[in-house]
Amino acid sequence: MGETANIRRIRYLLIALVALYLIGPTLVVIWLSFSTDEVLRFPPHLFSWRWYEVFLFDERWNEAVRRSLLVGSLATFLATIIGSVAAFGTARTRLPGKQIVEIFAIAPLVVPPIILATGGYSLFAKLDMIGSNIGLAIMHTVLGVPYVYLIVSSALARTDPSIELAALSLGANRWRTIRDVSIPANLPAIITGALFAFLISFDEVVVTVFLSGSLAPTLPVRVFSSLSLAVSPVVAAVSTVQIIIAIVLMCLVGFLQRWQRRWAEAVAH
Amino acid sequence: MSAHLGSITGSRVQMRNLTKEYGIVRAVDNVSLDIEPGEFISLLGPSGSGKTTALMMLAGFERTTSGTIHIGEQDVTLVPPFARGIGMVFQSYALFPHMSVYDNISYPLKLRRMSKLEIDERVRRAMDMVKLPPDKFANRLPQQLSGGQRQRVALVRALIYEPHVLLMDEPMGALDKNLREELKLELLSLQERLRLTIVYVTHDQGEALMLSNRAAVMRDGRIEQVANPEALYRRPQTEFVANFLGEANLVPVEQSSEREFTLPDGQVVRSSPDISVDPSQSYLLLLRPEEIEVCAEAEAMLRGRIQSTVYLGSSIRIDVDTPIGVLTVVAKPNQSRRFERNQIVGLRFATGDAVLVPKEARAG
Ligand SMILES: Nc1ncnc2c1ncn2[C@@H]1O[C@H](COP(=O)(O)OP(=O)(O)OP(=O)(O)O)[C@@H](O)[C@H]1O
Ligand SMILES: [Mg+2]
Repeated sequence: MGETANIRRIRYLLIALVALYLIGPTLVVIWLSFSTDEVLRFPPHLFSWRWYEVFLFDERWNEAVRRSLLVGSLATFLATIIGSVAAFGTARTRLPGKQIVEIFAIAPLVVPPIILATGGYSLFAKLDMIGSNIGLAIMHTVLGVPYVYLIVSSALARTDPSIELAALSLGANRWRTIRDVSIPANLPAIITGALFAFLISFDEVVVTVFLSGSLAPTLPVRVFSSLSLAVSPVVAAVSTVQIIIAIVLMCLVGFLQRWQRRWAEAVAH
Repeated sequence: MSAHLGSITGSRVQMRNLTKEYGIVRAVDNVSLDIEPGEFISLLGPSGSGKTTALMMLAGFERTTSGTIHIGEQDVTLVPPFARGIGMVFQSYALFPHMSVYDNISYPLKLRRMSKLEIDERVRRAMDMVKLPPDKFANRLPQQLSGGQRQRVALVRALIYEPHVLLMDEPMGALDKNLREELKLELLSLQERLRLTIVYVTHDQGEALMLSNRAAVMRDGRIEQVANPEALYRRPQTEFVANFLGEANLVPVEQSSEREFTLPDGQVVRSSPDISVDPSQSYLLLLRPEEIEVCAEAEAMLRGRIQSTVYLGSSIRIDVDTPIGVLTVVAKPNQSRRFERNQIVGLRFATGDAVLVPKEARAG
């Protein structure tokens, strides 16, 4: 046993500890979701699917899922368009005011959510849109735009800016160039941005609480409010489902990024 | 490619007083150039001299600040790039990364609403012509090709719709030397067959001299001289052009009579009759290294001491310190003749038909 072997063992131990620290809480949640108990307690009695059944068949949870999906899709759609257009505008044109667009596109990432929430609340209260899906989707769009913007921008920085000029020289008008070249050549990044925008909306609590009004809450808000009322293990089951969705989407993101990077190799030699 | 692209004939291209300003920067400054149909012309110049900007205006990617562009009979100054009927090859090749080789090449034909059958026939034939057999390459993505193969795809894609003018911006920049030589020859034979008008941007003088019918040497956004390669090399009109193309020994001279100029050591050279001389201007005598001959001291016009030698394979480059300055000479070494440092050698050069260039006024 040399010293290096000991060092290696210590290093593995440290990595394991950090990993446990990072995913420990998640593992506890998954564990709790298979509880047979009526209330959340630790450690739980195992093993049952009953809380997953509650989640699947309880109308109030279903409604929360539907609302999350509806708001999430709308916000994803809008954020993807706005974020991508802003990214193209700043990366590929020489229009004045690029810096300002950039600042606006990234701002929601650095402004504390509670400030966005109060701002959104006063705005939509005036418009009488508290509790409307549209109002909520608009606020979620604002939160999603920075992710789309940053992801698409970084892809554009790596793809050849001449490909659009090439399309124009070959006879494509501006619209065909966007349709045939700009969008498909950056599609993996655009989809990645869309997935992030969806996840952001699907996870958002603070702004949503402010804007939900009397309407049925979205999934994470429902989780949040049921935690503060009766603490039922169904919350753990719901969270586990959310975790799985997040993991699946992140795997997809990894795949998409490899795809986009391969395309970027068409430029470099 | 001749079978299908045979009907291409180049158009005339005319630039008139073309200027492009970026804020206070004049990237292109009052450039006028007439390019004949079927001519291969190079825009040659150092980095930042405005070559790319001029090409971008020809392609329609940059608006002109002032001046006009004609392609054929048409004034295209305000015509968008996709309606100019040009082909363009970019330094990065600009292949569409999400499309196969086949889709890249067929894209311009699809835009022209050609039938699938005709597209297929044309693309396959064109691929064969540039040695990219379709059954091997059609389905590959650009990133699965070598640099030279990408270059060929970019070239075919720009030619397959039979444009009247082909614009190329440093198309060989990213290739290694051997491949470059090969592609240059291919490009030459292609141009000979198709009689395309080609505008070729490069900062490589060798490339420009080898490929072009004429080259325009650019400097600070202006055209310094337009001429065929030999005239540019043999009869440069400015000190800048003399220095930019190949190596130049420039010796200060004093005008002594209408066509006679005195070297610093008192010897006299006669200028060729077609050079007009302004008496208020100082001149430099241009001696290309291969125009100076190393000879026996008895026959020499000049004697000098060898400062340094560089072995170049078939020839040797020698710097000789002489009474008229340090001269660079390219000589052929052989068994009986060797050159070493500090050796005294005799030099001579023709004194009639001397090429003189105006000495540039330098700031400070
Ligand atoms: N978009 C721009 N904005 C401001 N200045 C520019 C722009 N494009 C080019 N210039 C300036 O115009 C001048 C000419 O540039 P250009 O790219 O045409 O040179 P070039 O001859 O192609 O050089 P190189 O051999 O390096 O490619 C340069 O001084 C450059 O800095
Ligand atoms: Mg350039």
